[in-house]
Amino acid sequence: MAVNGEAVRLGLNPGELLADARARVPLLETGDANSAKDLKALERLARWCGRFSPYIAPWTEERPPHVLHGLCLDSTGCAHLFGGEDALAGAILHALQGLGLEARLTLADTIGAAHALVSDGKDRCRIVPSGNERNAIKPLPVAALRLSPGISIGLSRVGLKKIGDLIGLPRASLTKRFGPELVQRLEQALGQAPEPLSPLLPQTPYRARAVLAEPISLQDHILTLIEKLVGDVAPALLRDGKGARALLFTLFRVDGETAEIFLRMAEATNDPKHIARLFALKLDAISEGQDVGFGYEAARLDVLTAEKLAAQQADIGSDDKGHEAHLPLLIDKLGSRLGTENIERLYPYESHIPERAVSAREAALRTKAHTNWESVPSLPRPLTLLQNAEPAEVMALLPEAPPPRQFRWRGVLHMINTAQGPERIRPEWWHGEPARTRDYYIVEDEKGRRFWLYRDGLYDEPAAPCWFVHGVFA
Amino acid sequence: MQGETPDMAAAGEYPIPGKGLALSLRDVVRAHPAVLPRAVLSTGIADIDARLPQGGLELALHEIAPADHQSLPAALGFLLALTQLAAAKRKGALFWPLKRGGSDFGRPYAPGLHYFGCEPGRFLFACCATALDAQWAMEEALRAGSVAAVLGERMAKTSLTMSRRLQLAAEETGTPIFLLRGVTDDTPSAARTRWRIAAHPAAKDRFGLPGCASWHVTLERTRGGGTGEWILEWNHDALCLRLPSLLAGRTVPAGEERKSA
Repeated sequence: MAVNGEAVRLGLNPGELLADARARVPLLETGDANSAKDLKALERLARWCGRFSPYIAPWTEERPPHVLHGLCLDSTGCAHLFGGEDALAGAILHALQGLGLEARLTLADTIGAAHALVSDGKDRCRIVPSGNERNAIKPLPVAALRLSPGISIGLSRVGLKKIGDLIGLPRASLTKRFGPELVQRLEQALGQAPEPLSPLLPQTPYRARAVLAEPISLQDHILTLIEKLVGDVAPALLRDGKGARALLFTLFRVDGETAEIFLRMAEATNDPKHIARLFALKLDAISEGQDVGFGYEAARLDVLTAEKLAAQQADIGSDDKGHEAHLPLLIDKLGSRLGTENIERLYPYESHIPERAVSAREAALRTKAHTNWESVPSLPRPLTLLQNAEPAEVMALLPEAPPPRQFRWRGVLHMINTAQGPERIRPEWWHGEPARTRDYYIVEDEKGRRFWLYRDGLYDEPAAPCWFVHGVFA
Repeated sequence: MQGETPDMAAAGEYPIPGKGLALSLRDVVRAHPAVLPRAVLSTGIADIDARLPQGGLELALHEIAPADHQSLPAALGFLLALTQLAAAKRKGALFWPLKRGGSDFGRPYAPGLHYFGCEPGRFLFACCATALDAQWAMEEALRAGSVAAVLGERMAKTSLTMSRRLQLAAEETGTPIFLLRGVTDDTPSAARTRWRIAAHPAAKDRFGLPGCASWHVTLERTRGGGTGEWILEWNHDALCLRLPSLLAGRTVPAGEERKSA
């Protein structure tokens, strides 16, 4: 059983049996534990805390009877934005309190030390002066070092209960007795071994953020904010000769939710106007279903992918260049409302099975129309291909005279006037599919309508062949 | 202006509303973009061009309707033929918004477009969930001015206002747009021309095989031009429309082509 501060004041302890607790406090409010939801909530909180530092990692530690949940923030280079470390710590605690969460905070030089102090320390907010973590963690129990339970028990058996007891001991003998984990954790806490932080959010090369004095909720205001942030990022991109290909705009809501807008562009750009316009379209699309609550109070813009910007020739006279340059802008614009995956171009695919001969690919991935269609032989193929070939009822058929005289398709009888074929297409045996050989005919009915008809299977096969309409010609 | 000075002096300070003013007004009218001779697309058939007001298809909105449901592929063929005429003259992509899920006769098939004479790589497709999205996408593409032509399906609920918007956008950037109309769609539109297409039996080639695709084409409505009916063939090698050799230079009256077929 886990308890909150209120319950502790009533004299309940974590780990107690539920029945006992209920007996002591009859009006106790209880709920089932849901660790999956806890983790999700923690991740959401971590995203929201992205307003304080871009490097955040949520952590969870089982320490019976507790399960500890926490966030690890790398405050390097962030504190001065809030007016110093004290102010940053104050802002974080204040924000969390605003969300109704009870939290402890420790700021230390190493992840290990901060972790030990926050999970086992008594202070609500503690800032360990730089270089002082050794003294700070000395009085803490060894379990605070994030050790596996077996090691903690082993240590307590030999009388090593505090971290201070361990620090003076020779490391080699500790390793020999308890394995490498103990020494590694100890050294990490003391800053003698490296400990990487794997952040929840991707590490991005270019980033801009804004904290607002007053929450905003109007679309126009958000748009102004985006323009400002894009304007902040653009000089850095320009300096490196790069353009943004993918952007992530995160809005932090007052009540702990975040809203994200992802934007991908057909071509790298560092034109603030263009980027802001694309975001405006996205905002239009999402604002309908979005609940802004009490408004957004902070925002961040990340350039997820930046690419070298191709030097552009200003068009002098030539009309050509302008067209090539403008198309990606159009693709971006269309993609931001319709979804980039819905803007497609067609590329040939090396297969003679008709339905496989084309592959549609996202136009934003390849701007230049590198089509190899010129090298593809021009075979008689219909203008439109049915999603699935539809069965045709074929009549007056002699096996010796393959093109049928008439067929019924979608309830309409078509008398065949002229026919061209057969074009035999065999299944791709190397794929091991049990498909049958097809004989394709181009047939024209008495009214001049043309169809692409095929017979599935050969006459000498045991199963009778069937006829299908696969497409229509103009 | 030298010659007008005495007149002006005679009438005091006010210029006489006479010859000089009339001339300048005419100049103004002549210089107005609405009356400037525009670039047009020739259909390649003198008889058709002669009935179009500017001597060819304007770079504006044109609508193509099938004569019956079964002629939809024929109408699409004629639409693509016009698109190809535009694509040959102009640079840029061919923008084609599609209904999600495809239409009754399936989706455009790239090898088929290739065979027809269009370059499949030039097409830029957009899958649109709603008619409104498609309308918006077409207008954006027209306004961008970076596409050679826009083609697509006229959605059933396209109002006169919507088609006017498309027409204005097309005129602004001089980008032609060809729309496929439904068979029973009779809502008014701002299109410059409206065509009605029916399938027509093709002339057999010398091997007795079906020859070039041919259609019975009716020019139903032209803004400031005539109407007419023709049997047209699409030559997918030369990429041009032409009159079938047997009927060259003759307009077929309605109903007669069935007998001749």
